Amino acid sequence: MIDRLTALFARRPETAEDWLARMGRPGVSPREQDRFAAWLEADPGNLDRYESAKALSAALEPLRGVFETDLARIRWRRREPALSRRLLLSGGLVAAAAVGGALMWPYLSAPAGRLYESAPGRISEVVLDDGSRVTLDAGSAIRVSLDDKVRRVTLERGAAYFEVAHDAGHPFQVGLMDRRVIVTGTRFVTALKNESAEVALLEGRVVVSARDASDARALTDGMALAPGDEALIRPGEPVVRHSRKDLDIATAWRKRRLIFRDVPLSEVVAAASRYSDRPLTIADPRLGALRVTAILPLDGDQSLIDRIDALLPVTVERTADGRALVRAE
Amino acid sequence: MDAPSDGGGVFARPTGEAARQAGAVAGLRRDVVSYLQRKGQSLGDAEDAVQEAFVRFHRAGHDLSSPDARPLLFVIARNIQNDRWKAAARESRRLVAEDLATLDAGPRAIASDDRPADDRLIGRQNLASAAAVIRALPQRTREAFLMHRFENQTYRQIAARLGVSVSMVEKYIAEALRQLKISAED
Repeated sequence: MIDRLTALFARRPETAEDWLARMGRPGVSPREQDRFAAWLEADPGNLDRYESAKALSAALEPLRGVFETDLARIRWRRREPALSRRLLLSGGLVAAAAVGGALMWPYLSAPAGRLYESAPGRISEVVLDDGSRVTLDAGSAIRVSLDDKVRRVTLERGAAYFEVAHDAGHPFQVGLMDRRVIVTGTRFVTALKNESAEVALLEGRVVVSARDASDARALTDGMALAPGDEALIRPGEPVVRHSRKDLDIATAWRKRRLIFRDVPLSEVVAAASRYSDRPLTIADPRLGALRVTAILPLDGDQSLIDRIDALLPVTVERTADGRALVRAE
Repeated sequence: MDAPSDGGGVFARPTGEAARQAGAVAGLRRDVVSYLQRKGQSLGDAEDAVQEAFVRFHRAGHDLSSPDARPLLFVIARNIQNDRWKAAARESRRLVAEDLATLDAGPRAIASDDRPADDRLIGRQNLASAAAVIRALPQRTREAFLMHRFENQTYRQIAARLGVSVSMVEKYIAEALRQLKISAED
């Protein structure tokens, strides 16, 4: 009865596009099919118009990937409880599979969720289910769990650049050693060094907190960063914030190059090792203190080792055991 | 589409969904043939025209399981029938001018053109502008269209997700298609 009333009041389709949309409805009645046939017969051009509309829609197929982020965002926002429970279950399975792995930062809660890893020497892009984009530096790993009120990511290794899909209802948090970076929609980069971690903010606003984002005090207790700020995190110590004019350096790997401005050679070698197919070792420890400035492209035909050899005042020797030995020139 | 021969044995018969679909297609074929017969076509000619109609139907990218399949097949078959009548008329040249005029003014005068599907594909540049058109749609219109086009969601599912009626979803889809058509014509 309600359907019949709706049919009475619904506007009669007039154009090919109207009809194409009408034919997509569930349970098109025979009467509606008759009306459609009558419309097709009413004008010799209507069949062609209808087929053109259909062909135009079919030709959009290559755009599927283009709208992947938008669709992920819709899926995320319209998540149904049943789906959420299923995600939680799969998260549990992944966690069980990861038990054998070493936990780098045992003070973070037990890892749950999906692990994304980039291979050594490979920078990878990841689109998360909420539409956020993550660029993983070479040899890096993040663990992602979106099945909660809080979207939780943990940087387990290396560095990651984040473009967070805005969703005020679901804060986005990146666990970094014993701290969390909490955001609602922004662009920032995180990196784990040997003894410390860094957060550099490019756009928006984040808070670095020792508390989880589900804790109401996380945002008030934490340290807020403004664009251009970088926070230095050492476990157990207060977070140090300073503003950085050279944020392009912190995020240069995203653009497939490494930038060094007056840093010790040991730092260059440590960074380069992440992108190289063979580990780099400095032959003479004194050489490691040498201060250098360089831009090293990460793509192209030439290997990173050859570039270091050519651009820096050193020679690099490939050894039989698969290492690369850096010596004074 | 023909039933398996008796020699094939019971296992050679299509089963389940395949059988149901084959049966539906055979039924549709019979309906179109008898429709053309009612229009004055002989059984042989009608079957011939319907065969061609199915070929043209598939070449245009239509789908037999879609609700528009039946009306489209009827209209396409009738176009083919009309075309054949006209071709026969031209060939024999026995018809007088007013008879020709009557035919031309008939309910379905000319079959729609039969360009290959490739002609209708849109190039890279037009794809980019189609993407821009979709991005520029109002939020709900855009989301309904994306879910419909790229996730094969039913109108009912989309309606539930967006919290609107099924009729509203239909309007969103029609609006998105209309905007795409306007941009393709520029």
